[in-house]
Amino acid sequence: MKNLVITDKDISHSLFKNSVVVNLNNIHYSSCTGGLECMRCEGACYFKDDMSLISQWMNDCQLIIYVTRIKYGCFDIPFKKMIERLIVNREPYYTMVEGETCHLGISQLKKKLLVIGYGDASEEEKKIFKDLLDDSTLGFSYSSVDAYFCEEYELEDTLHTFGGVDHV
Amino acid sequence: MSKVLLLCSGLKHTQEFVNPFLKRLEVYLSSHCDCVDVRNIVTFDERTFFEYDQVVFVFSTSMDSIPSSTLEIFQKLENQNKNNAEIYALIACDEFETEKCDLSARILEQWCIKENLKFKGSLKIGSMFFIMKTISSFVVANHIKAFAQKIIKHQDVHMRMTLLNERTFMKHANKYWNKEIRKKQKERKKL
Repeated sequence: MKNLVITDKDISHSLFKNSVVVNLNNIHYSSCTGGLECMRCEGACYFKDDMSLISQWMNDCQLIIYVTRIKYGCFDIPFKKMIERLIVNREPYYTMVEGETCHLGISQLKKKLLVIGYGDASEEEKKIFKDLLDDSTLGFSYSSVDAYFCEEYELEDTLHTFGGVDHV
Repeated sequence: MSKVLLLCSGLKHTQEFVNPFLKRLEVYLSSHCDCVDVRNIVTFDERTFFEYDQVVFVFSTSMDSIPSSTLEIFQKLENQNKNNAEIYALIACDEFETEKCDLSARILEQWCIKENLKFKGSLKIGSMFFIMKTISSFVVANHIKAFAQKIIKHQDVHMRMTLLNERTFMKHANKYWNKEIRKKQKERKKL
């Protein structure tokens, strides 16, 4: 399985040649309704759309890159909606990890997560976002979670810096 | 006497999980306030936001943070008159630790800072799926009552409530999911 780049903005595909680049503006996916039907039905989501495939890919690939706008210290709406659909990749039962209760991820394949957040975010918002990443990856087998921030106008340069990171 | 909006801003089907808390809060507030309006993501009209003195966001966390439906409400309110309303939050999470609600509260606070609104605090409830089915439901009711009183008095509030201990949580939680999964399997067999 190739690596996966998920973005909420048009980016150059040539920067990530070893990855599948998913632009959230170009795919069709419904918003999660939070009814937790998927957890009751062994990970089968009620909606059959592009997210069915993407959530499967996310279990199988070893490097995931998010390119997202940050607002109030959180993912922006399209990205947040996509993340909410990833609940299918969680087990319903609770487990204690690092002294906290959480849902384990279905896939225990070691993977890396790199997040490039752009937008006009304050220091506090960046801190909240980093804490959010720490919390939301608990129970999943991420070997590393890294976050980098830039202004929207710097995004192209920042992506050039990270271009080729998926070759490793 | 003030006008209060209870805004159930969670994802569509999570509203059934927070309803027991919302109903109690509504009852306590109704006896002391002129007007308590209960809205959800469908019935909420952002053009009326300025009419309220106090707004209580009621939601359950979604993938460890604020639900996208609440972010959508923030977006709708961006260019609306907000009249310096006081903002409170009742946040519930399914895990044992109420700390899982902290990020949502911090995000809500950031929104308040950007929009020049007064964030007055929150009540965080853990183990939301089954806490009202245990003996702790009485304690939750007391906490909600105390939370309502703080809202009525326009005071800051930082409260949290969960099950007694992790052992009780694990017992109830995994029993809850076993039951839910079995129920679903039976439904499927019937079909």
